[in-house]
Amino acid sequence: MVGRLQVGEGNEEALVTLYQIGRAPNSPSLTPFAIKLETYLRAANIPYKNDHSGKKSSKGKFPWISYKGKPVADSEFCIEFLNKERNIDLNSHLSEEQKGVGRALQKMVEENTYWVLVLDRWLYDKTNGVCIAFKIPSIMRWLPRRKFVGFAKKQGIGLHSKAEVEQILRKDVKAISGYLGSKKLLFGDKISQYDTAVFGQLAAMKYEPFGGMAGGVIDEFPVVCAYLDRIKTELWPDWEECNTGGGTRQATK
Amino acid sequence: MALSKVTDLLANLPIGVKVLGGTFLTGTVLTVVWRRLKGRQTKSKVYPPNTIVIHQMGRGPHVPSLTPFAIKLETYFRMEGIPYEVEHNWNRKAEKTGKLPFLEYNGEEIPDSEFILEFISKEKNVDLNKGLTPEQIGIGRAFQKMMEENTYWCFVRDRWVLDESSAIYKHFNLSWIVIYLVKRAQRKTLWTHGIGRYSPEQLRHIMSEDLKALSRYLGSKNFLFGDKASKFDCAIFGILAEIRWASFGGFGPVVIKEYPNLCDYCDRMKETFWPDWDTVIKPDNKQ
Repeated sequence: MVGRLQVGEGNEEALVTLYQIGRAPNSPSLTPFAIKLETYLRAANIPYKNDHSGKKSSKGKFPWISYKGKPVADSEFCIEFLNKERNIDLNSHLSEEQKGVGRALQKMVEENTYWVLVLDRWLYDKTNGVCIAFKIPSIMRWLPRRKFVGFAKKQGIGLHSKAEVEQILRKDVKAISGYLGSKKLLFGDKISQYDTAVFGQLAAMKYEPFGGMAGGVIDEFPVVCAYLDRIKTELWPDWEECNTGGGTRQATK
Repeated sequence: MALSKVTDLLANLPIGVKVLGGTFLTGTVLTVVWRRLKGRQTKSKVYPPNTIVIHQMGRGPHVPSLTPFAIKLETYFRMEGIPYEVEHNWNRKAEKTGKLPFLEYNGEEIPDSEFILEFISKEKNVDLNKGLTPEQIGIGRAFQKMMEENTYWCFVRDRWVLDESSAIYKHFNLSWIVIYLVKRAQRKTLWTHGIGRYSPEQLRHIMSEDLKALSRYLGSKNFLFGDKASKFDCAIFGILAEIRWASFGGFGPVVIKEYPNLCDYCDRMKETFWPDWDTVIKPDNKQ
């Protein structure tokens, strides 16, 4: 699917620094956008190093990058920037129609499915998995919970019941399953930029389900599960080194 | 005797406490009275059994509704030949979500356009995805969600915040203080959503990229999947109609003109399902 992975020190000037929020218990990041961006860097063979110090972007969010001294915020703008700088096009094998569908699938998972993840982790999961992962003490957990649930209400999805939100997720995942069909990846055998975005969102739900319902919904779609496992195997052979083993150790990468 | 003790106690309170207490009490009483009055005003009309009633916010000057989700619903019902009624009232929102549009059916309220369609499909035994393959349903869902959850927010910020001429506010004769307060509230909402963190140029780029994706997929087809419109076309048309005709002073119409096949698609949906468009819209605000 992709060339050999290059991560680590090399020509410092040409190295991308990826600013993230630290490794998660069972996945490379607690934010799906960082999983997306790091998956893209691996798929595009771009050398990079991680910075988990907690420095925020100009938009106050994670992830972001710096490259040759220039900071770039927002995962999508980071990818557009690197595509230009390094003359990369992971979508070169797609037709115009496929590029249209790819963008639509990406926006669906990032602007709709993403909010299910937010509610699942901060409201529905009674084990407080994400709070424990972020090391938030019990008496303080109401604060980020109120913030994120408030965001979800403003977006709209937070106004629905849990059963309705589950149904929204099911329809999104069913859409991806229906589009994948019997294909290896979204558009055939070769990875596209859109695969990295879809992987980012769904991998966060599948491999880091905590005590929520989202992982179970994805498991209802074997086509999607196989797709996620395929990308994880090809681009993240070091997956276990990029998480904290359920919070029991430091990640080595 | 007990009462005189209470009044003495109140009289001896510090002046600051009396002022605060009085303000709080007055505010509470006014709120309760206002809510009761509002409830009486928005008491619903009684309809015959099994009547579909769409509650929405009023006809726009250039589009049948200022919310794309009402245009989506009406277009779908027209497409399927399902009769419906419309009630316009800014003040009566869905009890469960506080939003518009919502459906009233046999005394029951159903909020959210997507759940409304699922409800109607069960009630009227209509297949929302009639004739579509699983792949097409996947594509349709993706485009609908992109438009409703991404492009929609670009358009909201464009129309309600970025437009320096405040054209939509002026059309409804809103005062400068209302303009200031609404823009401030919208900025906060859009910041927490995420779309409010982009510069105006970045926002325009995002809207254009979304429309480019749709334009690429539509190509030279009449509708999303060929010669027959689907429920997904109705959802997409809702958003495009707002961008094209109801951006007021925003950049939406300029952006959509970069994609002539989308402009033609809008005209086609309008001519096919809204032959009475010009009699439905309300240029002079009178409902």
